[in-house]
Amino acid sequence: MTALVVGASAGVGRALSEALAANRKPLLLAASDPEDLNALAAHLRLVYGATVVTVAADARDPEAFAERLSAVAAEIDDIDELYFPIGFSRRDDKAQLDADASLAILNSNLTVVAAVTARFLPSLLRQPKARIVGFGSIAALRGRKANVIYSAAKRGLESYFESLRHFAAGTGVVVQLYRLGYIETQQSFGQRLLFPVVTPEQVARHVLATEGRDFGVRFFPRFWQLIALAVVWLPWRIYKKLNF
Amino acid sequence: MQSRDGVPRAAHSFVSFDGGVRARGYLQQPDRYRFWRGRLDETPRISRGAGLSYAGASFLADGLSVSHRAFDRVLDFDSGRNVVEVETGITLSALHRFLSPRGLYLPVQPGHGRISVGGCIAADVHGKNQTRDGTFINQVEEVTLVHPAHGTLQLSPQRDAELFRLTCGGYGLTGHIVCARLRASAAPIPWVEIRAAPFASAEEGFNHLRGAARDADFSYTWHDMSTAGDGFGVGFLIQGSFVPQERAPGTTPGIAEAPVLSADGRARLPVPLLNRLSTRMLNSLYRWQQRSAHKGKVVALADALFPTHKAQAYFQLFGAAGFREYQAILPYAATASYVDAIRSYLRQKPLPITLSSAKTFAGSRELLRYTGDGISLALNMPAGADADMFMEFLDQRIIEFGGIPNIIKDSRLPRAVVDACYPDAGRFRETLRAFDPKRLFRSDLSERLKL
Ligand SMILES: Cc1cc2nc3c(=O)[nH]c(=O)nc-3n(C[C@H](O)[C@H](O)[C@H](O)COP(=O)(O)OP(=O)(O)OC[C@H]3O[C@@H](n4cnc5c(N)ncnc54)[C@H](O)[C@@H]3O)c2cc1C
Ligand SMILES: NC(=O)c1ccc[n+]([C@@H]2O[C@H](COP(=O)([O-])OP(=O)(O)OC[C@H]3O[C@@H](n4cnc5c(N)ncnc54)[C@H](OP(=O)(O)O)[C@@H]3O)[C@@H](O)[C@H]2O)c1
Repeated sequence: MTALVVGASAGVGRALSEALAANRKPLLLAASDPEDLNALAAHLRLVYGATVVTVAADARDPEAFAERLSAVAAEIDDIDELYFPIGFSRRDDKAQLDADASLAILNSNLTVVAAVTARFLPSLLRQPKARIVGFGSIAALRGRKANVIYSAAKRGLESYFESLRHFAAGTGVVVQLYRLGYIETQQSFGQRLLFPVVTPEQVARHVLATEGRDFGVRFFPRFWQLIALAVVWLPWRIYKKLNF
Repeated sequence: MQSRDGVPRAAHSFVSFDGGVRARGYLQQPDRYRFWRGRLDETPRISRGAGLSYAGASFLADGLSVSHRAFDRVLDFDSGRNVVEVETGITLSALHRFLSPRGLYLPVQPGHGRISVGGCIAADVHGKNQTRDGTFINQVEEVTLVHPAHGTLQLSPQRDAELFRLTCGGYGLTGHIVCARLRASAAPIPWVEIRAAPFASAEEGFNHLRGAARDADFSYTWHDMSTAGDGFGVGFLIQGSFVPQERAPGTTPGIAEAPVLSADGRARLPVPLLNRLSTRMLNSLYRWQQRSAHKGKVVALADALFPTHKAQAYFQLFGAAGFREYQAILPYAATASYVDAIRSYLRQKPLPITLSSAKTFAGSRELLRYTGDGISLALNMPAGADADMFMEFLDQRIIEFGGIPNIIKDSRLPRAVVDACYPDAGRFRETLRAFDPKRLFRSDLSERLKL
């Protein structure tokens, strides 16, 4: 049984791929750049003796992306775990992006997850045990003037995972969404952050340690739960003055 | 801050490992190959490995440091030829974890596993038997170099040999070394027997060292120079050899991740704890500890390669003010005079020499690499005006005796001393300028030495 990691070439996806390889899980890895994927695949094969197949495709075209993935997957072992650490944000996402730029963000964070899941869901439902894992963001807690489209996509992702969990209830498929805080990756590099960051490796360890747990959505790191409460309940007349 | 190459730059405070140089600049940490393929702009820049150089070699005030930290993978392994291809941000410890189960190791490695392969190539570092193994360049088959004006270049002793030799030992000034193919050697067994043999004077230690370098896999001396009085220079010859199969422990040693070491972490103590009294106590303690190694003790190969893992608190004792290291190769004929000069100086102006250690070196001098025939002696001391005066004194002795100082170990080494000691310094500058007339790659080290 193989795990599919969409967005495997960097950050959380790369750490997750490494942690899965260390657990001897065969892997199907996807991202947009073949050179990054080849480097990662070579490393995982050499260091962990892992079985790795890669697919380089652009998630901004979700249908073509899902098509390429399922064609390659048809040639290998059955897939029983789907991980979606894919994510894309822009620092100029401040309510003035045009339709193409907005679609690129929506597609890479949300539509592609739905398109790929749709392809694999029938076979996952046939497995006695399977897993679908998404990665949300604290950016989706409450809309603000930065990361406007990204936050909308992540809010959509939460709703999508909620529905998916409902759909899969009573089957062997466990659906989990990790709402991530600040992670030490390219997305957060160089930003002045209010709270501590965790490493992608910590995220990966947590995701593997919580396999099979039907919690639906959970914060990682957990302290974000308290911050989230404060953010969500902060009165509008104060919230609107915050510059973050 | 957004940059043209799409990878964010963050304002960053840099400090050299010895605490001698501080600078504000920018740090970029690319993690995808499109960065190297894309258009790199012409901001003055320098590659950064683990940032553990004593000199300010991987940063520049207001310049851009490009960290190779995310490029740390094993890309290829030729088991027939024992050649491994890696991204140069990989740490020595991670590489050792890959090689060791395959019965291999790199004989030339500096003393801490957090140091990166890129830093080892660029500073052409030495290991624990330089006479036999040479410097890091001897293990390098090929490097992939990226330069904004030249694109991606493959360099090897056969392909563009001059640029290859300038890059290995070029202090990062020829470009970003993204990948390297390294030739590993057979490690017959992952266990090493270490013996510490006492000697009564520095000269005696150096003589023993020359013999040991022929027979042992690892050899260096430790000297007590914490006092200029009786006992100055006494110490131990430390030799390590792979344990014969019949005496080897029946197990395979685990290879733990190297402990975290950084220039910032080293400087955490606000006040230095090393003075003349504590230095003498520290040296006595070390001597006492070595008694157990008189008859030989068996340690894991990783512990023999990276002895500072268990002693890295030593660097922290210098506190925020930092320390200085003077490491220089002296021709054999000059070692006695050099040690006498040091002793006379310390008699008049006592200074706590916290560590003194020697290795034998062989090879012909070329460009700015730290090599040549003779004894390499390293001295550590707490930073300060007294230390700087002593270092200036040593600069003059090195010039007088025909020695060479180690550029990567000294954050204050003046250009005049380098020019006086390294006959090829001019050729280094000319070759570098011919390759990169705009001199895009710059660091605190290169600005100081006008490279
Ligand atoms: C505890 C300790 C023990 C040591 N023991 C020894 C020893 O036994 N022998 C010895 O010779 N040295 C020794 N050193 C010194 C050390 O090996 C060198 O300073 C080495 O260069 C540090 O590498 P780094 O990864 O920290 O690189 P940095 O300090 O970040 O950079 C060092 C130089 O390498 C360049 N560089 C780094 N990566 C790249 C790259 N990918 N492409 C191009 N240029 C690059 C930088 O520009 C810079 O000029 C020791 C240092 C410490 C802290
Ligand atoms: N970093 C944070 O602080 C943070 C905080 C909260 C939530 N998150 C979320 O956590 C997840 C992981 O984040 P991360 O920081 O690890 O991200 P990252 O380092 O930017 O990695 C994102 C991955 O997604 C892939 N990807 C992005 N766009 C793609 C496209 N159009 N086509 C194909 N692949 C694409 C990237 O590959 P390519 O480079 O090939 O495109 C890469 O493998 C994401 O969902 C992110 O939104 C991150």
